[in-house]
Amino acid sequence: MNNLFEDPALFRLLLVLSVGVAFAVYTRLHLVGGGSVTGGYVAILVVTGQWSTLLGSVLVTLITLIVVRGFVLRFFGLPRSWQFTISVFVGALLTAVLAAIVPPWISLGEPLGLAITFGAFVIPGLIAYDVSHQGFPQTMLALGLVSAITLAICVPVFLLLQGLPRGTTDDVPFVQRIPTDLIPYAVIAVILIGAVLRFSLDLRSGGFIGALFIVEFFSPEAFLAVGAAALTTQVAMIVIERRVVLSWRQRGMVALMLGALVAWAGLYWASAFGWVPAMEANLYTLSPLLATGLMAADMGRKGSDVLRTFLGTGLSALILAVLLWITATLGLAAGVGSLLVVSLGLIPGILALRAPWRAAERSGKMRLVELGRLTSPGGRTDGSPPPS
Amino acid sequence: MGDAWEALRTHVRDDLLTQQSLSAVLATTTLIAVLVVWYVWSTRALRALRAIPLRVLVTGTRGKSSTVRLIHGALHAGGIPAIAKMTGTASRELDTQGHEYSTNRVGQVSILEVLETVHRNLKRSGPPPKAVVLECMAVTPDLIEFVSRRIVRPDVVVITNALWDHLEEEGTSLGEIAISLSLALPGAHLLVTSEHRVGTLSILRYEAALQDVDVDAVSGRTLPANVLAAAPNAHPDNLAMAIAVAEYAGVEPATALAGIASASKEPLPVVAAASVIDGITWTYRDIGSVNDTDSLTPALLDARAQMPEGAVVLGMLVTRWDRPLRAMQFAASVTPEDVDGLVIVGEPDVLVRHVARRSGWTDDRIARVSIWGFGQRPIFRRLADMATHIAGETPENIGIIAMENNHQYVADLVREKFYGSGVL
Repeated sequence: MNNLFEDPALFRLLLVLSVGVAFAVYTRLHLVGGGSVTGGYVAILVVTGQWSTLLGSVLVTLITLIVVRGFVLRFFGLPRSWQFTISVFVGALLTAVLAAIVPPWISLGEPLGLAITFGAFVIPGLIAYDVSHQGFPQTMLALGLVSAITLAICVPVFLLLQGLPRGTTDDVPFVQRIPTDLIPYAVIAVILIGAVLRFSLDLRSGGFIGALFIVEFFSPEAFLAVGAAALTTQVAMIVIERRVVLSWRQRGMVALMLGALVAWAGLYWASAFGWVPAMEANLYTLSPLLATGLMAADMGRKGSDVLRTFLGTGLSALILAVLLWITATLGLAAGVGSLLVVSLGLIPGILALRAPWRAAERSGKMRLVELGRLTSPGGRTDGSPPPS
Repeated sequence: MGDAWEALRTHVRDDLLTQQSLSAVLATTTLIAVLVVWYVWSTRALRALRAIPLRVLVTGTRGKSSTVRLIHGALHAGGIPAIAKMTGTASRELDTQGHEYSTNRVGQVSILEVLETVHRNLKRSGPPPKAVVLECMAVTPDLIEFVSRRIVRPDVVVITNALWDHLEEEGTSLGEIAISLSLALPGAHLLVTSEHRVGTLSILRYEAALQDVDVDAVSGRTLPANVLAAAPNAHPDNLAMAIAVAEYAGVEPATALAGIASASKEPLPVVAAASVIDGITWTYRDIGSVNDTDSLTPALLDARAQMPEGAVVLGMLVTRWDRPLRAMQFAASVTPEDVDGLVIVGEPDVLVRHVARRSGWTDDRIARVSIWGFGQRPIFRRLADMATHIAGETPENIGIIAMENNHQYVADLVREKFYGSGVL
């Protein structure tokens, strides 16, 4: 079985196909199963027999759900974007705890395993958020449908392709930049950095972990190449959107698929021309495709654009690289301390939340002013009638 | 250069029929297939929608669904076959013969439902539509503009009013809310509104002028008594807007009024229902369709008037985690002068309790009801205990007024007890 799935191209096909199926399920039933790539993630775990990772993801999803529903949503009146980020952050944190308690539970080989490992940290939060948003049965139905349909198409296709040669491979050694023991730290850090950039500086950073992929195959050329591919995708999306009416979510899915295909083609041709950075990046099965797709999807989101995404992703990757260097050089305590310093950047974003809270309370109290129970919406009422 | 070119040719030749090339082809085919299928489907719906001569898009804070029904009734009576879609409390569709259908929702609310409505109507019998009346499903400004500009391209935009709701998306001042709603205007010929506030009406007029859209600002207060008597359950402002749209469509006011009088009604009952549970008579009234605190006072007074004499009346705040600002608004707005006790269902309950305390509530008159967790007692027993605490003895009558939102799992259970499961 493993021989069949050695070729990264098959997994790239699976990724694009799963997003296509997710598009169909959303369009037909208006259901999502934990973001656009979760169905593909589950399908890869099933097809490669990574049952312990799957089980771990399920467990973390359930705990995340309990934490988010039982605590976060009860205490805080937060906008959806905050709730989404908190959900993903809690999921990543719990995954890190699980990875510390049961180290071998993520046991995929590289380089495919890297994207899946990164995904394992993010996916539980994505699913938990969608469960909160649309319900448990609906989310499970969507996730089940996308995974099952993807597998039903991919497995026969894989078997049909089995007899063919794999295609030329790039003759460069694979080097994993982020050490395995620092992956939990890196994922948690990149989510926090993304939150700081988004909520305090209004920048986008290529989904939650786009910058992580950039750091993993780190080189300025790689970043520019991914950026160029994302920009190409964005231009193509503008052309497509002139002809085809797409809802925001549909747009995100199409951008993800198109970005992945542009990255795939770009890596192939650049490798064919013998460009070493592309050959190195091409060794990663899914990371460059996801990085491009996530950046392209972010460029088209409301409140975002090409510049904010470029700047946000670049800054996020840079800060993460510095944090990883500090952690690798000075130890985990220094890394955690540095991360805490970075997270202070969230303070402006947190302070900005107060204005709508105040406005909401004041607008509610306007009724009491109109009824004569209060003299101004800023005051408190003790429930007693106003003085005559 | 020659070597590189030769290497490239070798690379390509070697990859012509491989797992890699065929996977790439299949992946590209997937994307093309997705886009082509969606393009064909959506274009068919869009063409059908835009082939309808009169397109009316109804947006605003309050009264959208009712207004859609009234406009549909008026046009129908005037001999203009119309289809309509409501999305508020319950998602429903009306065909050109006036038949009502429930929109079967499996997943989330989506603007794609507009296209689906048109598609479904293509399969229904009856005369082809000459008008379509759509409740705008979007609340975020970008999406309002998208629905209007890319999907509906309305001739008439109805902005019922601009009140304090959807603060998360539309803005935290009435001016911002009015500007957000006016993003539905581009391309329209007429704006009909019943907004009363001078400031917000001025903003709507200004935005309409920028888009070269005529404004018909109407008010239910100016309608004569005989007109109001024709549809006693309809809000006068909604009535005035429906008559204005019908007039634009060339329907005589008297004919329009006759259609409005026989227009379909919102599914949620406007009268209280009663049930006896454990020897206590419970009376329930749902005003959860009132999502803004501007409109709360008349709805609350009406609901209280339907409660039995001497009943302990509990206000049930049906809060939604994705609408925290609305939750804070209602918690700040409902005081012990409105109801005897406060029941919180949904999230963010801790925050709501905190705001409610600032509005004069004490902890012994606030209860949070959930069906989650260990050792939960039945909902009505918990509420009866609080009512007993408030009254000092077990009351004979307890009233529940559900407000803020309609849907939440506890609120749905309570409603089902009185109205049955099929009402919404």
